[in-house]
Amino acid sequence: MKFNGGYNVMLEGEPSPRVAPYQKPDALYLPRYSNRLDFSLVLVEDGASVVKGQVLAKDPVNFSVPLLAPMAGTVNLEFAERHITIENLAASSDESSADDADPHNERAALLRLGVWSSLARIDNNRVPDPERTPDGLVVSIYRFEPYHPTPEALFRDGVDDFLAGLTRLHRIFNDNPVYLVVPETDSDIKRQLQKAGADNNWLHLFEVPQTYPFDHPGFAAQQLGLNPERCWCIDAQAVIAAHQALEFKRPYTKKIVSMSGPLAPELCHHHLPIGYPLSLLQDQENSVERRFINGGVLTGSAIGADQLGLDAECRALTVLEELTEREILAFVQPGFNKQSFTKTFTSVFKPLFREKLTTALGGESRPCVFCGFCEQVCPVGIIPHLVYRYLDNDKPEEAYRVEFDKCIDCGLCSYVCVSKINHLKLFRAERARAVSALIEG
Amino acid sequence: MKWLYNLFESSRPQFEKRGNLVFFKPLFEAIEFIFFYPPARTATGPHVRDPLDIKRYMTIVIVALLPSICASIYFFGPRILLMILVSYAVGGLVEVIFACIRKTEIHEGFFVTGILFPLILPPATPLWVVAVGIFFGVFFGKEVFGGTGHNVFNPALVGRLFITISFPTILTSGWTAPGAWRGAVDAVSQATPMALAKTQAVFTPAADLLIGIPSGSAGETFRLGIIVGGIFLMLTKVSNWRIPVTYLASVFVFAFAIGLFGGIPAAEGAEAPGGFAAAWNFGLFHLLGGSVLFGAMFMSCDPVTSPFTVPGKFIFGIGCGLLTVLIRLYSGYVEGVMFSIVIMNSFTPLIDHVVLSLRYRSVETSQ
Repeated sequence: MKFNGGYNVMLEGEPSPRVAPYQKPDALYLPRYSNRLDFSLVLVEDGASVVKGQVLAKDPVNFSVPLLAPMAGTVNLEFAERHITIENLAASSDESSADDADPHNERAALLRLGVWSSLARIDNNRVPDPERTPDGLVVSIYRFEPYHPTPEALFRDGVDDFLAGLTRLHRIFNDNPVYLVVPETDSDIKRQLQKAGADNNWLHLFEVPQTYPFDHPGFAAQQLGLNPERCWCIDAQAVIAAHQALEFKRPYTKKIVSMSGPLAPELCHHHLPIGYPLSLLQDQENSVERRFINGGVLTGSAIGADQLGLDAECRALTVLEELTEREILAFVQPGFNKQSFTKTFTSVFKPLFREKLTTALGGESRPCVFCGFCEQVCPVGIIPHLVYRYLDNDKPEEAYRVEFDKCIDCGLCSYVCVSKINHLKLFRAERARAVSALIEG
Repeated sequence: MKWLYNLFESSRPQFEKRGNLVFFKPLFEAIEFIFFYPPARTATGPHVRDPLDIKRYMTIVIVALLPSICASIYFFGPRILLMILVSYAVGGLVEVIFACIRKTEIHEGFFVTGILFPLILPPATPLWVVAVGIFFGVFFGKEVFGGTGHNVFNPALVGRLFITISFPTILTSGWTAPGAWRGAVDAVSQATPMALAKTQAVFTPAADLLIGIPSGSAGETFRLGIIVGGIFLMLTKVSNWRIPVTYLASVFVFAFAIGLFGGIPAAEGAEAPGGFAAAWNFGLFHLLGGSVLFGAMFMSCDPVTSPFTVPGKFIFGIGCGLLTVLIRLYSGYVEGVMFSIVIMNSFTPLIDHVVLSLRYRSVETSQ
């Protein structure tokens, strides 16, 4: 295996593996949108009472994957725009029965109980067609992007449910192989997974160095020679949820979410219901201007002020300080507290440390000077500045000729760019364009 | 620094829209952003960025040049400082005028061009020639192509090329002896090692070349400092090792091979030296003599004007080395570094094109 490129952004604020208790909410604010999903078809009326696990809305574009009620209560559609608010939360244990699903059709059950939307096609990250079967399933237990939930938090009750979930998915998908991406470093969890791999010939372990983004399922698929169009991926947490959905008919409405970053009120994990009020996760006393990021610091998206609750796909919350100060003569400062991909700061004489990064762009936007850092850091061996130039000049066919399709959107090229060019933004826009062309055509 | 910040804040309206000085906005911003970094934030992912920016990137090159700059002032006197000053002033003026007309930012690439240019000139170059040269280099070498990042040729070399062709006498007579300005040596002017080798078949010893005893361009004589600066640049990752190393290696290999096959020129009446040891010394002389080291470490690896593909960098380095040796040995010019780099600059787009089409050929045929 070849591992070229990659880079670890040393961000201060790593979450501890602890799953901390959370404050009970008065209401849940379920966004009707998330990164990949748009629950435009609302199935409940204003003022209706709902039970836990009831379908509130569906995404008609993505095979009608549902948005489920995490708790019983009364629906309010008026309170916040593009949200479904559940008030008067009841602690009752009533659950919506999944009788409407055929007990023999496990795919329908995964769809009905909210697990299916965690699956993604490797080539375009979209929800896969439930009628189809992948050639292989890639599961990454550890995400190296700062910061995602750690395996210690996900597997706090052991790996049995996870392995049971893998076995079930393997059966559902015509006994096709499952590839497990694990870090090279030794751990108790890894030893248990290795044992399972030795016992089951369909379970393959793929060991990667602990460097971002070698954990990425798309990277693993390329290294393993899998066809990205015919392989899917799923996160470890959803594998456990798949087991619980099929075994106990439990809807997947609560997620382990990591809390991290320099300004996070508490560095830990929480097991939160979808729609959990974001205001309860913010440190109200701290007045520093900050950015809430849904996901990791490289590929996540900023959470706008209009979003009130945790969306259905959120796994990680990262809190950064917004840049407000203007540095004096920054380009000639020794930079003892700054880390760089290059060796141009005096911090090279210091042991590796975690840095209190802000949202600073760190310089001015300039034309590309072909320094080649983006190519050095690229994990999949493409030339990002070349792809960028082709896409910027509106020549997508040329970009695909130089293997743009290999790009896994890790964002490292934009991170290291001395000219502060945002490759990732353009690459994502092109992918969105290609996907929408695919849907329309 | 609060007073300076307030000064910028109070004068800003003059440079904004409908201000009296809106034409000079790029200049105002350039000066402001040197002292106070722009408060620019990331808009979308990645939400954090590497702290290295183009200003620091260029500053690192100047830091790497410091040994050469100090040595040139030590050897050739304070007039080198004047040459640097003139170069910055005139080149900067061209840069500022272009930025103001184009209404774009002033790009930092000029900080490197402005210091490189005087260092590759003969130390006795008249100041007005420095001004004309840097004007030509920045104007025709960079701005007409669209500014930093779009130029085909290294602007400093374009300026020197212009001087070489327009004022040939300066390039043959401007060679001051190091230390002459403070009376350390008797002679005022001195032939360069390359000229001595070409005309009299006299090869300066390597040790003299390393510490800068013989004459040469202002920045090229103290070769130990160039080596230290070049290695520093490679260690910081600001310059890629591939071009300088292949360039230097190929100069040595080609000169050594030519020496081995009896190509070493001999003084009139004397027998041409031969054998392994003579060839080795011949290779070493071409490696250290002239401006090969300076050219390889600071000019050839300019990322904008050299290939960005990895095999392209090797081809570029070998091409520069081969051309340098051929021009030195078989042309009317005594030194070939400038020509070789400029010629290879013009091949850069072609080299990248060929490398890319070979690399992605399999992709095309499989579709």
